[in-house]
Amino acid sequence: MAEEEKNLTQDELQEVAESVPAPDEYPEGQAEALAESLDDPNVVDQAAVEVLKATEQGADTVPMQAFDKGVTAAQNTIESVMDHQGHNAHHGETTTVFGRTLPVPLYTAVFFALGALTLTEVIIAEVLKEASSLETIKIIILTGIASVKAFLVVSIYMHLKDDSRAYLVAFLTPVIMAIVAILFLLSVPATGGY
Amino acid sequence: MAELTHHLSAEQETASIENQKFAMWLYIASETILFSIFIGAYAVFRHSQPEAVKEVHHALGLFGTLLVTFNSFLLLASSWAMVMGLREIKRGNRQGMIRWLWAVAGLGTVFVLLQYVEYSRLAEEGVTLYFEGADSAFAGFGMHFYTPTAFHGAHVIAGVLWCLLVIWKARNGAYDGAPGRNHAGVEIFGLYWHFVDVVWVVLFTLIYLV
Amino acid sequence: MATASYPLRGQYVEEVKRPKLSEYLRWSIDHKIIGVQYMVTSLFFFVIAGALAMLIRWELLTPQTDLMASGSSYNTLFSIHGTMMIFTWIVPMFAGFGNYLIPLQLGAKDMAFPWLNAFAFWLIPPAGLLLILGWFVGPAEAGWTSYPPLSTIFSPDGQTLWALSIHLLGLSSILGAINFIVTIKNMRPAGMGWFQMPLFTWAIFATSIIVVLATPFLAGALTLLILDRVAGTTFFDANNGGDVLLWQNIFWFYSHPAVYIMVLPGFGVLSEVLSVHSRKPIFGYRMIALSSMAIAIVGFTVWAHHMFTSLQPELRIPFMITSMIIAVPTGIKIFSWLGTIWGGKLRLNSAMLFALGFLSLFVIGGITGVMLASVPVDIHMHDTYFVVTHFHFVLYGGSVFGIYAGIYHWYPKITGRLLNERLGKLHFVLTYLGFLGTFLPMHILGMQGMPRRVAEYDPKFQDLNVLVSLSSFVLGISTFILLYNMVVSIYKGKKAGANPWRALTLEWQTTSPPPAYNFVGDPIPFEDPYGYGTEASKAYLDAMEARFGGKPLIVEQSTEPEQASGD
Repeated sequence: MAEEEKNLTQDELQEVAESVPAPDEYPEGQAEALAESLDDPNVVDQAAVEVLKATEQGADTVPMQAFDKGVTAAQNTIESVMDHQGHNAHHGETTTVFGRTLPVPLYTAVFFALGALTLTEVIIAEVLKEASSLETIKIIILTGIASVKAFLVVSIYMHLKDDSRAYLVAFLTPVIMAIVAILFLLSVPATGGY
Repeated sequence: MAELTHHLSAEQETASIENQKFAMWLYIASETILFSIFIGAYAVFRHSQPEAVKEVHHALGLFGTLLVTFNSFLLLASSWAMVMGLREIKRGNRQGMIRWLWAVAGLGTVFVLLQYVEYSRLAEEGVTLYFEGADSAFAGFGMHFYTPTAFHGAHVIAGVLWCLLVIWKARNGAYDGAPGRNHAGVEIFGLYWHFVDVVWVVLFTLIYLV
Repeated sequence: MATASYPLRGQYVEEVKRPKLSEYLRWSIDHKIIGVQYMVTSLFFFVIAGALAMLIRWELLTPQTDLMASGSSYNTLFSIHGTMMIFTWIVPMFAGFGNYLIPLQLGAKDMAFPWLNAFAFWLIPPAGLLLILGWFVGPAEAGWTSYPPLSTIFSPDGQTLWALSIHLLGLSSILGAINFIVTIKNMRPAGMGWFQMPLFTWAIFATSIIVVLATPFLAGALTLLILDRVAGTTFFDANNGGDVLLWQNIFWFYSHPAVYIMVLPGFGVLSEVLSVHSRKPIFGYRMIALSSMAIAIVGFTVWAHHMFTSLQPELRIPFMITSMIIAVPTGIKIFSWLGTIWGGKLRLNSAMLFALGFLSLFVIGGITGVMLASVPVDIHMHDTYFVVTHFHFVLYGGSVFGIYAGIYHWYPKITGRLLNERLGKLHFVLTYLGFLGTFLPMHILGMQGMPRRVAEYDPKFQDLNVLVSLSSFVLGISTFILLYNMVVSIYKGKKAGANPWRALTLEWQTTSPPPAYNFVGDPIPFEDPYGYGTEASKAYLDAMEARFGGKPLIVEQSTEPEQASGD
């Protein structure tokens, strides 16, 4: 499209050069000035702009407008289809994880990961249910898995990974504060009892 | 607001999406703190009364764990449906988005219903919101359990209602990308819904597994 | 002559009519109307809460309980007094200033979310009503801190209404703060970076961050408190598996940062007023802006200094250190303000007098704050009148004097009329003297050991208490001078013109009151909001004056540093 425009412009330029009015149409002295200035590339550009303006005026006629609409509609259709493919390629109907390509979009892959992590959590909790000596390890593992799940949802489903840094600050600050507050409450002895 | 938004330029329109998303993130920030109080209260209870928590887990048994695990899957699936719906509307496919959002609302509803089933079972076991009495084996579990989960459940109910509102607006032609009708409404509902999901991820691990 | 350097688009609107009274009584999404709604509502609650303070002081004229029926009914006085002063006066009053001024200072048409803005305001009247309705079911009597078990077991039903009311007020300020943050981050005009923002805007920004992050702590604690009261839970009942310190911890997670919610906007007002009325650039702009942020952050780490008598001893020292550290950014501000007025041509009008009053009183309040932060002193003076006078010095001497300075400074912008200066000065003198008479003797009472929150006290304290009470009545009456001045000046005040103080911030570069959507054409911010005394700023102000008309209150004289210094 852009290339066509350029070609058109050069064709038109030649026309312009050929159609420079006869000298007698100009006041005295101006014709010479014009002839001289034609060597100046800027003037050529200006002339080209003028020609383009003229074509635009021509395009305002009804048949031209109808034709234009048709072309634009076709273009839009093509573009939207192309865009769709581009979109899909970007989001991916496939997802690459650790070098393997899965035949599902990223969001679906994350969903499977979340499900698998949940199952892992439940199994660990059930297996270690009675092992009170391993309780600390169990708590650490489970908290870690839950954090990974939360991280996946926040970074991918909530798009925090690619979004504005301000959102990240707005979210992380209270999370850190909450963790510190909870750890503080856990570390001070609770008053009361039975 | 209508007077102010109907003549926005495209540039201002983007700014308006950014405004709404940023506001939603700030709202989520304060909700995070709010939930942390309930989570903290439970954590302190779990720390000082581990036996009561064990008793409850025993009383619920494997069925209880499976029920709540299934419930977790429902919420995770609804989060997935939400993000797929958002993807559709970003592609301009409003019908596709509406289908996904029906799934979100449905899964959310089932989640709340199953939570009701679970509450009923707990109530039968004698776990109550009011203090069970110092001689009960679960003493104090009820209030520390029902407060965060019910508060979360209320957020799910509010989310389902919001979801229905978004569907209704979409069916009436909203979110078509025309000036003042961008997809910000879907996106900020999505942020809310995912946040409710994240809270559940934490509550599920903390209350049922640890 | 200078107009040429500021090509101005748009045209000057000759006279902007003030909105009709009825517009203030109904739902409106115009931030200027909402701002005034906030302020008037807050002033209403200020009068009620002030009347309660008068009753407290009346009761304390004698060592016995004689005015009130019992100690409990005395408890309700200071409980509602404190709650109203904090949650329905200082916080919403500054929110009102913020609402009115932030879009103007940013050259914006309105806040980012006008509808949300109106919604946040309309939560306040019902919340205030709930507090007042408490009287019909037995009002809250556990103090504004509402410690259990006073607030759970002993207090009547009004305590539940109190909690609901604070819930609503908290929601209101969170929504308002979200609005402020988004507006300030996303709606600054082209050419105004973060460090070209007016300092009042910086202060509101820092305040809003604290509101968003701290207020939910209170909301969570209040939810547990309400459950304890109505649903039979025992979160805070130490006899039944609860944790009584949990409330104190969570409450102060919120309420210590909340202290800065109440005073940071006052700092912002002070930065504006001192610079404009000294005709000097603000000293240490960046330090003032960043110290607000530093206070906001450090403010979250000091809460346990309220609990030196209840927390385990080994935690006292860390909190003592953080509490003292927070005096550093505050001190930076104080010295920056001193640097600002140093060598300036001070105009001692009412706004400036209150700003200087703020400066002097807040320093005293700050120093007693550092005293109380040190553990041995606090153990001695915990819950005495020393604490009472400390926080009245920072909240009355600081925040309320800041509000007064702000009222005298921006009233002309809001109404288009000037407040009466003679009444203003009378107001200042009575308030300042009344304040000192009320709160200075309390230091002595506190050090001698008079406990707060009691209706009966040792007769040996009576002399000073009579002095305090009589001074407080002067303080109470002085407030009505301001209210009278505000009402009368709407109709009889001198016309203010667009920019009576020749200030450089954007809210003055439009008519008074500003037209719908604030500016005709795009506002052009001056490169430095406090660049007073330069040729460029003079040219800018002359150009704006030519555009918007109106004579500045102070005509250029040889004493005006803008000419005298000639730099």
